[in-house]
Amino acid sequence: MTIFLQSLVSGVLVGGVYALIGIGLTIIFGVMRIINFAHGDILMLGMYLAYYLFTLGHIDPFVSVLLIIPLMFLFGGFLQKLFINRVLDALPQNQILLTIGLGLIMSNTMMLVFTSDYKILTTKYSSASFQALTTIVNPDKYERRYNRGNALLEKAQKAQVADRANLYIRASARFAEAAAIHPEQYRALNNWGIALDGQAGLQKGAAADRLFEQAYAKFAEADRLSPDDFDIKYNWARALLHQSTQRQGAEAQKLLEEAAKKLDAGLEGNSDSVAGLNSSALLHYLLATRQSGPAADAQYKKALEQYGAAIAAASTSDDSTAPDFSNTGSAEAHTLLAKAYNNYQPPFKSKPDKRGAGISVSTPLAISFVITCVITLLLYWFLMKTNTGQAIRATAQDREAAQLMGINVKRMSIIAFGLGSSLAAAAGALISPTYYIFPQVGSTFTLKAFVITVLGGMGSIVGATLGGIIIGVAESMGAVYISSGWKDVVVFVLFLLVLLFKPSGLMGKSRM
Amino acid sequence: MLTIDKLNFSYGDLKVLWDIDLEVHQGEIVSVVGANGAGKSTTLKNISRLVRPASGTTTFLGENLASLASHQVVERGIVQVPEGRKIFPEMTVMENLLMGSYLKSTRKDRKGNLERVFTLFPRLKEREKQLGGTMSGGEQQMLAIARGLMANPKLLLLDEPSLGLSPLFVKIIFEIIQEINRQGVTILLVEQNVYQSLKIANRAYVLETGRVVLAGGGQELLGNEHVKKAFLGM
Amino acid sequence: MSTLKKLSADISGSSAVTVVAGLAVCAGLCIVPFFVQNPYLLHIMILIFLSTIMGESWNILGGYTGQYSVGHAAYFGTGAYATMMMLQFRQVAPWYGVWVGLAAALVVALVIGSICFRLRGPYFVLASIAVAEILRLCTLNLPSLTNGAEGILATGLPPFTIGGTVITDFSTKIPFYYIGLALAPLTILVTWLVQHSKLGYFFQAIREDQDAAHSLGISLTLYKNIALVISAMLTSLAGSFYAIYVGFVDPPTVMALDISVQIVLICIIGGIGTIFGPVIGSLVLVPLSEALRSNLIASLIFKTGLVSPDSKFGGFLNDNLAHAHALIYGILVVIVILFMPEGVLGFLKKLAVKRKGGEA
Repeated sequence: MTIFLQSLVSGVLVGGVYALIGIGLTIIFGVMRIINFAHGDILMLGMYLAYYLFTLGHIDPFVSVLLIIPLMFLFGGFLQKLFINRVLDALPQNQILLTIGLGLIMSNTMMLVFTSDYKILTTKYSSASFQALTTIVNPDKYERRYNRGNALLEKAQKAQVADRANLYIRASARFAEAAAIHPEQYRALNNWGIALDGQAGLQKGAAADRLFEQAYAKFAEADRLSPDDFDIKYNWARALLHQSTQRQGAEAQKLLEEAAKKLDAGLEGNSDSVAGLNSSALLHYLLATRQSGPAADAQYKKALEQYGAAIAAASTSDDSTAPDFSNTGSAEAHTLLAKAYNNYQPPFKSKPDKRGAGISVSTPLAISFVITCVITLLLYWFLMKTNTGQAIRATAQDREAAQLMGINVKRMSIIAFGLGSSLAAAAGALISPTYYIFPQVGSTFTLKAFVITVLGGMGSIVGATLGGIIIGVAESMGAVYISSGWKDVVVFVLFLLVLLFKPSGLMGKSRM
Repeated sequence: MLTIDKLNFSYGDLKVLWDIDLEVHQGEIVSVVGANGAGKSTTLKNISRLVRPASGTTTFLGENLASLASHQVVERGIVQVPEGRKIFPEMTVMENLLMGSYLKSTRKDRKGNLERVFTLFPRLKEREKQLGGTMSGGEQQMLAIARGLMANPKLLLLDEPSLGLSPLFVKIIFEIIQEINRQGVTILLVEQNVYQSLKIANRAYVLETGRVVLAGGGQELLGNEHVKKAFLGM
Repeated sequence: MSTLKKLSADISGSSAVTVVAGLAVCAGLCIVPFFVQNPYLLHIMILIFLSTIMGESWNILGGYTGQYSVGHAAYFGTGAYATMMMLQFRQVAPWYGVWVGLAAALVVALVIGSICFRLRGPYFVLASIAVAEILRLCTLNLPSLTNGAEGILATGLPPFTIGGTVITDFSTKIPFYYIGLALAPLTILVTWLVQHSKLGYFFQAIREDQDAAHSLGISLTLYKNIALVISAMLTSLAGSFYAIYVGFVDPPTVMALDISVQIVLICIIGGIGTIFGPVIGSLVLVPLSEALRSNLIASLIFKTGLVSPDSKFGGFLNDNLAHAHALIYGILVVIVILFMPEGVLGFLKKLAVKRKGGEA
């Protein structure tokens, strides 16, 4: 019951933002009969705006959304005036292709300017959550899956090489399910990363790289949720080290540097970790061997320092698996020992998570839901009560009749596209504290926007609101009761069923 | 008031209007009659700038309409009540009427205009909150005319207002058209109901396959042998 | 009737010239590897062939039948995956695996057709995307069958032998070049045959006016599905070719929405519903996007001396321009839709007509 309520609540919260995306698309479709394939890319621009307003201007995304809305309104109006208005009478397929082209330009320009790196906007409350509906139950599905994953992971690390892959994959699947149930629990993510790292180590080439990237993403997310946790950084660094062994030259060095950076950052608050200090020493040693002159000397020095610290820590440690460093003299000898030590798998313990009974609600999602509600209500008011709003609805209902009422339909189209764009961008800003930000993030949201609007009935605002919430809940239920990998399939199948059996959508009759 | 001079128009390769000359004077009811596809509605669409003519000039109160967009034509005082009513189906009767006075210049007269149309069509007052799309054909036609009047028209273009209505409604609609005209609105009426529209018209034009074939006073054309034969079945 | 005859005479008259020219071009292309051994140039030629096959295939459904599928990645991926799965998991050589791919594409096309062809216009477009996405997600989520997100890496192609003689061991790009050179004209030929058969007339009737075609007794379901099946199978062939050539498939590289969009753009940019549109589209798109990808453009900019590679902006160009090769697709499609809605080919034809008119 808790799980059901939990996924219902998080589904509705996410669904609110989805509704905003859907309403934007439906306004554009309603007024111009154009399916905007650049919708997700406009959302992506909103995310980047929020990101840079936060990192450069120190404006919280929930405040900067007020700035982003008018800004992206202008941008959308500009797109309409410059491009879309010219194809209003063209073939529908050409209209679609034009928006595809505009979307490609937006995402690739962002890639050109900001690279394809994942960006994370971390606010104070990014990982915060609060308890709601305090009721029942503790050892729930999350716990079971998390524990099962740990058991599999432990088994994998002790198993024969040939048997490892399968165990790692199964462990990953359990952690993925656990993480889907409680995306805010970093432990599942951390261990998921370990399992992916394990899988990657058994692969080569692009397949390995992809797995490593996935592992990094998990560690990054876990690290974001729990920035002070040493284990996460340690595991992350280990994964980077593993990948570096598959690479050569500058690429390997870059990975090693990255690993050393992660690990040393972690050690700042945990200077007594034998394993951590030892690995750090190894990393600096490896870096030293790849350089020459003063740079190499500095790395050797740092490596020796870390070994010293490791030895000191090991002598006071009650960890019986810690090796004895007392008889070693040279950095090379240290390395040999360190390598041996390295075969000892990273420590991970399944500590029970400290969670109260009830439903945990992510704070940023809750705030964004409230803002979404306000925006939606304002939009309703605008469309129903103001002259311009009514003129937009009139244009959507009968373009020719609207012209005969003296309504400048081209202007209404510009306003509609501006509105749609600002809603998408607002949604982007609102989710920026909880999603990765990268140039290609848009296409996922474009597809979601289609599903939402078709579900509700193309052109229906009430329908899009409803559709957004339905999709949010369907995703979150699908992730819990089926699996996170299949949740999108659930959404698309739902989409096809609606297209086939009720193509006018759930609210088909009521247009704008 | 309105002068159309040698208007030509084609839909792609299909030429539909040939050298149309037409004139409407202040205070008149002018009817354009003809069979289905004769080009009557197309002529109105050209006046309202919903389509662009191939050649020919249209002047209204001395101004050439060539460079105007549809919504600007409405600003000048030419308001069209389109064929098939084209009311906004998801808006209430009241919202539909308010859309009629969307233009800034007409908003200040909203109250007075509302009173005026509710006196003309008391039934609309009763249905104020009903959605436009759920009304009967006759009521929709009333709403469409009322919506047009909300825009303070100097010249009202009516496109087939009696189409698909019961005889009772047809009678009401034609009476109302005369009443509107008495209130000082000039009317250009396009109709297939040749008898009724010629009866109320000061002057009339007969269109056949995109050409003006006859022009004259309404009563005069009612007595015309060709009109009798072609349209009145006499 | 006489106009029909005149039309067919026109077509055969002009096509005689085209056929001769086409054969000459093919013959010319055949001897290219004797002079050009630069693997990079061959690589670009192979990509042009591949892109032509993809474009021509889509054209049959999208260009001639008017059904704008934005889900052709489904068939591309089906071909690519079928071939790779047969090769890696069943040790079946790709030239046999291709047939499995074709059969799989046929099945997938019939399933997709039965769903999507109930819809029209924008709804068809959206449904085609949704179905392709479902297929991609299934591939991703069935690791026991497809290796999931890890994809499949070809660990070695068996040498191609005829009667014990090794024809090629695929150690250079040249055998792939000839495969491409065989397949691209083949798809052009299929398109030509379709266009000039009764089938082609039915397809074009459906494109011009579905309801009118239906009232003339043309079965919409039947002929749309025929167009889809031809198109899907040829696309699957392209997918198989890609998989063997690159040696690695995973869901994002062969099944993503990007692939579907790219396939449509090849046709749009070249000229939709024309035999040579996709060829032109490929000739424009592939070299441009490769030039960006390989940093050729950046180094050319440096050579002009306008920007120094050591300057901040130069470094930026050097680092980032290669990432944005898809930008060229976006810019081109916007230009084409706004200024030459008939595609580059149509635009050139119009220019030629104008010139002729000017001279006369």
